[in-house]
Amino acid sequence: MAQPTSTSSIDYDALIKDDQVHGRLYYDPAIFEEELEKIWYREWIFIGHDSEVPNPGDYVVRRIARQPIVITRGDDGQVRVLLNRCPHRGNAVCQRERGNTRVFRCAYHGWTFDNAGDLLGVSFWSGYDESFRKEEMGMTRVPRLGSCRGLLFASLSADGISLDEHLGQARKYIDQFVDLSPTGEIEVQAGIHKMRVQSNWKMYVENGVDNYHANFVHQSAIAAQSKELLAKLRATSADASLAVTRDLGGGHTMLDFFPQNRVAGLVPTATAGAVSREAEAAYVDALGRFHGRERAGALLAEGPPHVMIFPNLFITNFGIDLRTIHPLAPGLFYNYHLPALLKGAPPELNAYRIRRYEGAYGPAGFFLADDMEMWERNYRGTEARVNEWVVLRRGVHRERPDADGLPIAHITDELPQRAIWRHYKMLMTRP
Amino acid sequence: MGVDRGEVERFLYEEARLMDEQQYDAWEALWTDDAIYWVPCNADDIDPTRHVSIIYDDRDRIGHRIARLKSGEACAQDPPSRLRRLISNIEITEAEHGDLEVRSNFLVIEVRQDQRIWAGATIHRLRQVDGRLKMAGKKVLLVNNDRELPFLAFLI
Repeated sequence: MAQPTSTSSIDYDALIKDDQVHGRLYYDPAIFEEELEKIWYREWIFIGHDSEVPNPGDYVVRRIARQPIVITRGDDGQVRVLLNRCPHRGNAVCQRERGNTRVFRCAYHGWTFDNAGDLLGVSFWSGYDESFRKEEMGMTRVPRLGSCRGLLFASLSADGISLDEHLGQARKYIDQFVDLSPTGEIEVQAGIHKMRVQSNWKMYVENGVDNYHANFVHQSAIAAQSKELLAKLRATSADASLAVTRDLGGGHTMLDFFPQNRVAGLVPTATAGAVSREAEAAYVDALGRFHGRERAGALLAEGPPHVMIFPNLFITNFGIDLRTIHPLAPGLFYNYHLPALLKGAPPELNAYRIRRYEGAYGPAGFFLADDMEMWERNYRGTEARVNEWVVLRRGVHRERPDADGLPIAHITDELPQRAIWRHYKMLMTRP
Repeated sequence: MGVDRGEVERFLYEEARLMDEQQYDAWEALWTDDAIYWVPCNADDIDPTRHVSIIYDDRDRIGHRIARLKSGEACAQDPPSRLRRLISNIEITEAEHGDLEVRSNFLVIEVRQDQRIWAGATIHRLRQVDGRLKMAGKKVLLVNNDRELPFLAFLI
């Protein structure tokens, strides 16, 4: 696939400073189109999980930004990602969101493809001569597909760094999420929350690793549930908090709540009182048998990571799900949440996790509804054009290296946002 | 058991008005203690123990939802949505334990920055308690429950 050859007319150096960025980066349609080419159709994009298509013939329809794709498992058991487009006249082939089939049939002229995307049959065959090569007329596969613990990443560019290189320091946090399963496997088979957000996708990326806002935007959600929880979350943001923001490199960023959670006894995975003692004990025992007691103990005390893997995989400390975004326009993106069941955990525990998750998240969740409103206000604010700078200066003086030399700062600091923009600028200005 | 259709209609219209006008305490008082307020996600018939819902509130969580809305600090309802809804196609069927099952269709206009339309069917499970009807269950089948949704922060 040819890369675009035109050089950008946009001066990203002028728009992205170390501690502030210009509003045009959010609303300019020309910048948005460049982002599609330079980030979304080139980088490793999170698209789903292989457990969504457990059986041969299973498929789900998804997208990479605007491009429609189908994740399918062939009769040979292999997962493939196809562009959801008939190579004949370009019709979208798959109309259902998910299903199981041996054959994809384009309804426009009746061409058929097997569940690996290879062309099976062309109707009224005599209309083509011997120059028609059936093997070249299958549904197009995405150039690169990679997987990590069953999480699927696709790249629409044939060249680029490997998925391992891309994930880098963030990889171990994918492990931390999946390892909460007592079999080391998750099942993304619990449905999907789909949200439509009238905002710019980068506001989502920035907000996911912004702990500063939680004290204000989420106050009503937390207070309604528990005053004790509110006090603990206040302490998480206090000056003395042990929680830190992290720049993991590669645009990946993190809110590391683990040190504070341990001292505050704030345990995101806690089930005590919510599920039966038998179910809780069965889960804890199974986790210990699989991982060893020490690792299991750490997983239970820390919970899932709170990590934003650039540009579109988000895992939160309070969730049970894999989150992704799909930009469609400067002021429009889709946000999908894929809740994960812990394979081998007691059904009662998985049911409880779903209940707890959906109280906070999804279109009517106490946390997410408020976030969605704030992302949209954030975008509406960009219409004000007299002073367009967005200030990301918080905690510049408090940045420091951790024991491994990676940058950290206070949990309320804007270190992640600065790291995201630094990486973004590199991607947007490379040849 | 004889069913007074007029009483059922009055109940549904009153509930609709309380939701439209954000009369949160009065709406909360319509629920029984064992109530479930359910808005399925992705399909109308899912197993809520294995599949995520848009809303699956037991009585406690209905209380949390109301407390949050009443706090005035829920960004997604500040300012509150302007709402009006139509309730129609009311069908009553007897249900187990003397509860009434009532199906109806709704159309809600929600106005915030823009105007949104929400539509679907509701299945109410109504129970006579101390001489008045209460909601023991409410299942809301959004026609777009498998599509990308804006936030749903009002009572539906």
